[in-house]
Amino acid sequence: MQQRSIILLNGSPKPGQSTSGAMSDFMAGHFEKNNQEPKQVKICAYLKSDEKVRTLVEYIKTADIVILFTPLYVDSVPYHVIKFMEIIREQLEEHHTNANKKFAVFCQSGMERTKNRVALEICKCFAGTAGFDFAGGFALGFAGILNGLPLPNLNRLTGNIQKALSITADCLSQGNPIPGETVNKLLAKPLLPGPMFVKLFLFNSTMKTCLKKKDFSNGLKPLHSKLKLFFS
Amino acid sequence: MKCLIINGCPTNDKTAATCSKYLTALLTEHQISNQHVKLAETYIKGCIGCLNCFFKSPGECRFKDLGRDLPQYFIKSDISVFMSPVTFGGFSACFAKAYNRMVIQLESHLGEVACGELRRRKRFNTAHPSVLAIGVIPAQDQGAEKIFTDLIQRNTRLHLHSPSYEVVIMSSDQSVDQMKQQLKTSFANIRR
Repeated sequence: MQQRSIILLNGSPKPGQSTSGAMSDFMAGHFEKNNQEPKQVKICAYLKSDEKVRTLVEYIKTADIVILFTPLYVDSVPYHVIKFMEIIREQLEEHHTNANKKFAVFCQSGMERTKNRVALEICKCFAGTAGFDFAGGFALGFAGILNGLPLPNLNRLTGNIQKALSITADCLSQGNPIPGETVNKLLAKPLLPGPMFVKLFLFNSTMKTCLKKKDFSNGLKPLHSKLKLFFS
Repeated sequence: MKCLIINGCPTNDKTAATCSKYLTALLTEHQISNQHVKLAETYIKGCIGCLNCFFKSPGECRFKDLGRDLPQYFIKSDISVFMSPVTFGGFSACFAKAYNRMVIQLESHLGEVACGELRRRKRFNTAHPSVLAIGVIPAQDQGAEKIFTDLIQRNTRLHLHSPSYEVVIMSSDQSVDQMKQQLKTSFANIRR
């Protein structure tokens, strides 16, 4: 298999664990199984100084594949992901051809996956403007349930997400296009199943528990327990 | 009546400066007091997703800067004007930084169903202002303009709980008269 230069971008601004980080870690592991050596980059850490920004731009310049994992912030991507896009557009569009670089996005929202639509359009617009080959935009809903835990720790919940990421990594390693429909179907299987009133009940009861405890770090444990109760 | 203008455009942007000048004149003409927040001249820390404003200090951000005051300015106004360069169809990084901080403090930790979707409830039990969004773009780009309009529509309906909104796109290749007319029409629609 041809060696490719792969950058996995983590767009989460959280200092500790995040769902974007967990998905990036899983995909990195899968690329390594395909004898690739992906580089994982946390965007906000590379915007802190001019030197780090130059390093980030160099990584993108030399990359063949760029995959962005980003949370959804108010129907868009977080501000530092936008900042990254602004920098890349300025630095690369004149001096560098990006036509052979594949750019894919995984966007996660805390509620329904359809909320990611506008954010994915923004990413697609960025890819077009900066001259990347847009390999696909994929949405995940109720990603807050994962709460940054490694995906294999939640196999019951994340089986489909792991499959979707594995398929993406396999196709990109082999230089093939990502089968968008397949990946989207896998990610469409809800982490929080059931009709709207069930989703709302589970969402609100978890939020109330977190408020009582004044702590979100283990906040989704109640949700995991409730899900097992309903769907075991 | 009070108007809050949150301006995320760079200080050297001529289109934004012209637009801002005519907007201020329009507000003065209608005897509406205005508060102009120029984000390019202020440092605001970005949201780090700690959720303190949901669970530890509800409605209040842990960072003591302008980002903590913006929600109060917003809910005390009758009209809010957002000015931002249209960046890949969305807000610029400068505007998004302040906007994310403001919106998350305006939202409750609890959800509700509205228009067939989940959204977070309002934090404060007051009427929220109408929104006039001005997107500044160097040249006409229908794709980016459509994304921007979608973004504003979803934000006003699902996050800002605003009764009405208007979107105006100002491009550098427009004449000053066209700009003035667009602003006047949108402003009249918002005030109704």
